[in-house]
Amino acid sequence: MSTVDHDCLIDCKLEEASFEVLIDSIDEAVIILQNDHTIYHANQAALKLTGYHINAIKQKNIDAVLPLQANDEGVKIPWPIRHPSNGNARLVIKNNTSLPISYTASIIQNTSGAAIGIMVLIRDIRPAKELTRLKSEFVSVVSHQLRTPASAVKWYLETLIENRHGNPINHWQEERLKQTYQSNERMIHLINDLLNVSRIDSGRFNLKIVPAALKPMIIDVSNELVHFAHAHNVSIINRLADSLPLVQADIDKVREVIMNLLTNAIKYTSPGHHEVLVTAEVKDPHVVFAVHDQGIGVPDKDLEHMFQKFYRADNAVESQTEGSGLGLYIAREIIRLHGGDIWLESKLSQGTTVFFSLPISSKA
Amino acid sequence: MPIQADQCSVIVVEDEAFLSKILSERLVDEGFQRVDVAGNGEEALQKIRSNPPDIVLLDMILPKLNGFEVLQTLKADAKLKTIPVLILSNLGQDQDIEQAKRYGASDYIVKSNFSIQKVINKIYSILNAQGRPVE
Repeated sequence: MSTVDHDCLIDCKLEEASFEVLIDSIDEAVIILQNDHTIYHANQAALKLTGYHINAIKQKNIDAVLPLQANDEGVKIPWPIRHPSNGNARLVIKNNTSLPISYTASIIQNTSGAAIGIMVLIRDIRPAKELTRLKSEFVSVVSHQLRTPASAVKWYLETLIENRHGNPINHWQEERLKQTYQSNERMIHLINDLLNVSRIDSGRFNLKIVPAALKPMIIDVSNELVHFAHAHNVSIINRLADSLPLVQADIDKVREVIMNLLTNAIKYTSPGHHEVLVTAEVKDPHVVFAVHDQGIGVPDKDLEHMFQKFYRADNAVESQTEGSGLGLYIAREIIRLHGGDIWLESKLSQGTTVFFSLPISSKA
Repeated sequence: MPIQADQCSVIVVEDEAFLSKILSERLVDEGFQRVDVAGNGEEALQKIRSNPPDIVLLDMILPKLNGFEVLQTLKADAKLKTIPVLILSNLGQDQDIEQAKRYGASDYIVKSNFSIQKVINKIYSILNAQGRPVE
């Protein structure tokens, strides 16, 4: 062996050893695959996660020793071998148990650019899932605890304002009691929104979807909002054809969406404008419903953010109109869970139209 | 002929003294013939058995026996199972509502979302659907 070859061999071995030391020092599980799907190396974190000794899996096909199962959403994917990718799955480890993981796979290339293997970074997502569950449980418990005193305040104020016991209150007192009542109502609304967000984020927002006619429900919600609309000098006009096909909907949940969109349309209507219009048209395979207002509108820069959690447009905040920024987020999630979509069009100072689509029921 | 309050008796099963007081006061104002109160599940069953009301207003989270246990006991009792039970709870999860209805509750109200007037209206609508009050 020439000195040059000898030096090169030492360099290569040193490079390989350094590479393994580097991989082993990473806290996250890393598995290096060769092009034929066999395991070339697994770092200490990967061995700890899977329960195997390196000799038990080295040079074995990864599908044979560490197969993937469908993730918790029911999606099954094979081990990524040829392309960079990432995703969630369940990894079957030693003793045939499985655990939820997320992975990132990157192609390893040699100096001439040819793919010689793949590096898979594996993360155990049980702690993240547990954290989501705990957070959601915390919100549920706290919300329930908050509702009890809020109910007591609501019922006592209602009794005081109604003045059923003949202890007269003066106008000044009545005004303030009503304002207190409205503040409490806003708090209850916020608690309900937080509960909904918690259920949505933890995947516990279950729908009971049946073929449903939305027109009677929309008219019912409009009637419920008559006093609120009147106080804002607004009329709600429903232009919904009797011939609309049934849609696939959880009527109670879509009712929350309609209630939210109509409430927004009324409260953001500018002084001097008096109409909120509800329309619907068939765009097979969906029915597209729309709530049009002649309100303050949404600035262009805010349009793309309007369905984000807690987001409120600057002019909505400046108008001092009460709102949590959760309503449109909840509406979007409800509509998406139905297999529909929601979007809005708006012109500043002219008005906003919020559209949402729901699938037409095949039983219609 | 709609049911009149003065023909009917009601029991409020609620451990939160503030809520129990305001609701029972309002039911007395409304003219209900008899308004009983119970602060826990055991007391509720005892009072319902000794003097059956025409409707039970039942909270879910209660000391001793919880609302689900009270509801199941009532619906398993041949003499008491026809008494309508209106759940008044702040547990508003879908599964709680479904479970209560499966056990035989007439309806489920999330307290913070209903005014007292709406609770009263709901009581009348359940009593009217039920027909004549229990003698």
